[in-house]
Amino acid sequence: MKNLPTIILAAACIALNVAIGTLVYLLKLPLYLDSAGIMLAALLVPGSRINASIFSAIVGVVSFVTFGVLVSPFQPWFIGTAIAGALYASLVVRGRVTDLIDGTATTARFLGRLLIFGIGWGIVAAVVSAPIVVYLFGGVTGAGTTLIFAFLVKTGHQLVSAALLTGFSAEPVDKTLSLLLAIAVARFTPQAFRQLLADSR
Amino acid sequence: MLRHRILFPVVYPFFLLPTFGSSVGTKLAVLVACPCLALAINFRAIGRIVVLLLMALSTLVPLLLLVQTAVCSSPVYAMPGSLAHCVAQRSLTVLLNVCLLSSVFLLATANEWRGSLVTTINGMCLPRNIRVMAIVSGAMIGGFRRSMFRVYHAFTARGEAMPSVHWRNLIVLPTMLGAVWAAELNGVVKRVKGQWSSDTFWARYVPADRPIDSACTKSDVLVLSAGGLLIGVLLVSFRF
Repeated sequence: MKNLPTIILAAACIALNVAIGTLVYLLKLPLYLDSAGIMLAALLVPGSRINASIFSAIVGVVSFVTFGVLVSPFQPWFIGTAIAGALYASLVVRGRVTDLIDGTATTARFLGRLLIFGIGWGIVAAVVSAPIVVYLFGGVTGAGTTLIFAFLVKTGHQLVSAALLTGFSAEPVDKTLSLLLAIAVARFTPQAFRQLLADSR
Repeated sequence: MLRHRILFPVVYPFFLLPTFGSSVGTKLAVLVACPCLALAINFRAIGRIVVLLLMALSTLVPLLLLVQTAVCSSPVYAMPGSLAHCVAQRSLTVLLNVCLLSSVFLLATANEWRGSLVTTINGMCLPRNIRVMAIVSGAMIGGFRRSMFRVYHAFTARGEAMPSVHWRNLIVLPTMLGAVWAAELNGVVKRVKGQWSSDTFWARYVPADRPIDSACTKSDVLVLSAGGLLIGVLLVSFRF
């Protein structure tokens, strides 16, 4: 199989999503951190942005289904969020954080890019998740953020706007941390594996 | 590859039709039918997933009650009648939809699970690359967990990470994760150049051409019949 290294990269990203996601889920932290592998897949896979979009979307779908079977049965209903994240990672972030991964960026540039792309990813995730949260789960988003949602509704916000505002308050933090993890992990990718990926094109 | 699972996974969304504007009776019928069908198809496999579902629902219900209390007491969504009645009515609608979706998920899991990950993945109508990816990731999840524990112990032994909330963990945790990732991929590189480079190795676990699985076909027929019956009931209930 010529494309074996690419398949293995996908498998490793899925395993990373499930491993970190499980840990965070079991610790009941007010975060998800189940999408770092999607970003990592989009950053590391060789080829065009379109290829990266398809590849990271597959990683997202398989991760969320696996997470659903192993840990939380509600996760597969957020597959749309995973696909939107994959598109954002491939079309917006890919190719623009190379110096962050190489370690050649200054601290200010590192923090600036990390915050811009992390917050952007969080906004995308919040917009895509809001309808699912409102219409399917009645506004329940997770242990910590549900309290924010309840407070916003109580103070007179519409359900969708409350879900969006809750998402905007929680998702950027989660996605910035996920991006930080993805960059840190990408930096540790062995050169021998990168070479295998490049050869498999 | 497609000859015995033509309708996988298209059949499952049929069961989701009642979510869109059906009566409570139809939804309840599906809610009862799917778990019963799942039990009939694969009694042993669904035990674990039922536990997960119950745990997820036990977390959802209190939070849902909290949210719906806020909704019912807000000036925008206040309904005539008592607060308890409003909360119960709104919560039950959401809970019914969530349970409906979960029961379809249960049915899909019961119908697909064939005793082991490798057999299950190979039983699905998926391209070979996706099957390889799923099987390798299944093996890697275990590998990641083991490596994470090893690296965690190594870091705590050196006093670099504290087993509690500590600002230093913000720096140490990504490094720890990176170390796990590097260790796993270094192992992978060795295997790709050795054992994994052989097509015979992969043919043993992920065959390109699969024999017809009679158990698989039987459960598919059962699910398809139930799906067909459901569509019939829906059509009749819309007609009359």
